Amino acid sequence: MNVAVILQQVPDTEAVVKPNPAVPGGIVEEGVKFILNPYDEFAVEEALKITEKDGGEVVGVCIGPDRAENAIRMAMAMGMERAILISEPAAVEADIVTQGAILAAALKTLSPRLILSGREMIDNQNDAAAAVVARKLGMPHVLAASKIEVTGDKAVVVRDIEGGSLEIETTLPAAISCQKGLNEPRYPTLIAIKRAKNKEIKKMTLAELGLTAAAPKSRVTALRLPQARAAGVKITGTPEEVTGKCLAWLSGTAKVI
Amino acid sequence: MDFTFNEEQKMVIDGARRFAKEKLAPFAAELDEKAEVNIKALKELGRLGYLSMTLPEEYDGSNAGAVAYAASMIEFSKADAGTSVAVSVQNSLVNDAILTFGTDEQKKKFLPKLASGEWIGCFTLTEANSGSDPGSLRTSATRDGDHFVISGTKNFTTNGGIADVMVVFAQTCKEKGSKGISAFLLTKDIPGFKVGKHENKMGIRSSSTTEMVFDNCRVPAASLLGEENKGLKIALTTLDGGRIGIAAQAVGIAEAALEEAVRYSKERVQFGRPISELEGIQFMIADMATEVEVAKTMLYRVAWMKESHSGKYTKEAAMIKLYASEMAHRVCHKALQVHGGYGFMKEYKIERLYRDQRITEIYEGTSEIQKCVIARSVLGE
Amino acid sequence: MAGVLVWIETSEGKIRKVTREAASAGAKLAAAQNAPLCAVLFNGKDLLPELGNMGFSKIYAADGPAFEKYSGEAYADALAAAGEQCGADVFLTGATALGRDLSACLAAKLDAALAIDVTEIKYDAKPLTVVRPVYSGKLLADVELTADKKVISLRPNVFPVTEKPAASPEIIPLSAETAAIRAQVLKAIKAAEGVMDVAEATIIVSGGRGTGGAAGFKVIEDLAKTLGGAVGASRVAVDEGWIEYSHQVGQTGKVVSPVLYIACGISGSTQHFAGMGTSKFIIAVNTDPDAPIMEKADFAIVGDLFKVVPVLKEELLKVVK
Repeated sequence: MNVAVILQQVPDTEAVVKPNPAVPGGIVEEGVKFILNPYDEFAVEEALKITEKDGGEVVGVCIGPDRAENAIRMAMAMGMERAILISEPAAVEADIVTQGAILAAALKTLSPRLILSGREMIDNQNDAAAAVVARKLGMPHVLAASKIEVTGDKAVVVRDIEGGSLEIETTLPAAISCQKGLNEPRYPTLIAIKRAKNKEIKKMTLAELGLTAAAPKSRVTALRLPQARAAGVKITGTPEEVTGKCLAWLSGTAKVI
Repeated sequence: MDFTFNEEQKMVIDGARRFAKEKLAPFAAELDEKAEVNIKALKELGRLGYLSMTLPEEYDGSNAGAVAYAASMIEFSKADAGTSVAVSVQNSLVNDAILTFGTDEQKKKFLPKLASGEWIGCFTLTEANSGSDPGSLRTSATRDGDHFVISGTKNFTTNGGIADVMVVFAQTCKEKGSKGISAFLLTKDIPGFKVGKHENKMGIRSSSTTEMVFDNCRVPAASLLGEENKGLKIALTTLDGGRIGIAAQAVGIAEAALEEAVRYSKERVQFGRPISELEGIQFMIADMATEVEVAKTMLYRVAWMKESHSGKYTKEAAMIKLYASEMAHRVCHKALQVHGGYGFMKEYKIERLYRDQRITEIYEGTSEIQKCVIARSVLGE
Repeated sequence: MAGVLVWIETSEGKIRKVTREAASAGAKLAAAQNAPLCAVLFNGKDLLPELGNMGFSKIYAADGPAFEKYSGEAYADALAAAGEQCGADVFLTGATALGRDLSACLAAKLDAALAIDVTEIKYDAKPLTVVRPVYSGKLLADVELTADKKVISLRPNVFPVTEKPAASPEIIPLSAETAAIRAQVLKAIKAAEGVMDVAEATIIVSGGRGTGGAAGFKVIEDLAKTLGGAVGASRVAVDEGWIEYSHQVGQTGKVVSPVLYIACGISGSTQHFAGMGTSKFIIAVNTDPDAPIMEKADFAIVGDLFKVVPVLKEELLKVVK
């Protein structure tokens, strides 16, 4: 049975991201390098490990503009076999819940045994995709998995929470989002990069998925830079001197103690 | 003309950049200090295909091409020039020599293992009294029936201490001088061979540089690489390709130095503002950036000439080796100057880059030899 | 009909601080809408007395084995049922691990607008508008919630807690029909004794490259303990294996907003800043006076963390005592 992975293309973690005054809610894309969402690599790696053990293919689903094809190729260079790309603006610009429904419709066509995603998309900080997809497909889900053990039609998952973790047993099919620490994503080999070029990326429209563009549930009206922090005081001295000044500041200015 | 990488090349180069950042850079300073090879990373590069970038797939090569190779070499060199020279030797000197001059049998036996990184190779030409002048080689290979007996000591062999396979040059006909040199393709387990002194170097300290000692090593005549007494041609042809690797290494070191200078100049505050706002610093940065860009552009052109088989590129390879290595010298000098006293301290990467750069003007043909090659070509000799 | 419904999140039998923050934000929102503020509490009868001063008019108490352990599906069903009863159109949770899980399930179930990890609510805006960090905190997004129903998770330590006069909210037993739970919590694994999570802490002491190794984290841990705070770490420290990933603060770690963040031997890359830039106060200890963090810290100490931090700890011990 196949394992499906939800993919997202995002700006490189080192990219300088600026709001685009011409596009409300958009960023200036010129000069920005786009990559496969770093958390998605954990999902692809886990999917590959599972299919290498149990058989089946790793397949992908991605909502994004045409350039997102490069992110899909990266997943393919790691070992993903084929993918669906939904690049219609109505899908690309949709809100998180609507996108979840679109992903669910595309995933349904692949009838996967397991759906994996990254813990979070680092552009719009969406960490809900796996849960929304699961709800729309009527299957269980687990978020932020740091360990996944699949046996038969069940999986035991360890998910991080504040101050510890939960061990969760879920029936399959299920949707699980993948946290850093789950595995060490492989580097693509150069031969695999070459082969990725010829793998199938199927472009699908909302109509082909049996969906119609719905009214947005939410929309980003503006992006702006957070207020820059002003530099504070900088001191040097012996450990005793700086500690004295620091304590005075903590109780006087910051009022923390 | 198209100056852009295709998508496949971009992925190969991105992969190299990432590998360099995650698997080379974090260890580079420590390995430099200890003079140790990052053998784990080198083997992993083999598994990924970065040690067989110009080998066809029939020998399990990744065949990514000379342009992607040059660009990947830049990335590795930015992180750890010691590891990058090992990559260069394997790709440009060992693999290419075997692919171009080896018999089918030799190719089948050696190339797949070199491609996967299971075997590391070295190219051993230089001797104590024979650097730029290969005609004065003293290592001899004397015919004895269908065998040769090799005796002599090679030095300054890159990868010497980690190599499983050696391309060895020896005199097979002393009277003929440089026309009496032959190349041999050997494994290191031949009786009578041992690795000699490990050199304590100024730079690229995370590479292995050793003496190679041959004490009456009896090897089958089938170990000849190419024809008997045609070794000089093999050495010179192979070194043309090698120069692309070393030029790329120099460009990488220079680019890293530039990045260090840019970063430091923005962080370092003097006279109440970052020194990057001072014209004296800005002019240095502008010079550095321009020279790096010029070298990179020419480097890719030479690599493209090799990749597209569009004719001999001996002159151009010599030119870019000469220019890139001396350019890297100037850039590292300025980048260290931007750092002021801190640049002289081991805590700063520029200190290592400055040392690593120096050898690029010397090995695989000194600047002076490159000028001889260029002049000969220009003057139509 | 309108109303605001808050999920009372508990941890080891205690109400989480972020729930109080959500209740306070919810009260403001309810007041702006002139609508009631209600809450859902799972298996927490003995906590009811503590909920009197949080401004709730009704509390839906869902009890029973189905809610004994967290289940996104079951909890979302219950919240949806409670929302139906009280006519809520805004649902609030903390942006904790489970709060994010629950808000996602609920938004999917209700086909609602979902706003994750919100740091500001524009209470009077129509349609309701919230602010949330995006691109790892490099940008802030104004998000208009246009759907009828809105599910919002609030970043911990951002919204102020304002106590309301003591009152006796109406307690309504909630019997929601829940389907069989397919993702079943087998057990909770606690982090080592005394280890506080950075995501919740009001004080964080963080170590980076400057700690030089796992052993170097000892001074960081000591100071954190003295201050009753959590131990954080930069990506370098985690990647080097000096400390576990759960401590990582930054773009690929946790995003935190403590009252006080003490960065020791951390240069302060953009990626690290993305995870702690919204801290109320930042103290930095670094040998390099030009490290980026030194320009952003409220109080920057140029010095060796191994010399400064232990003295700071000793002096603080005296104050704390």
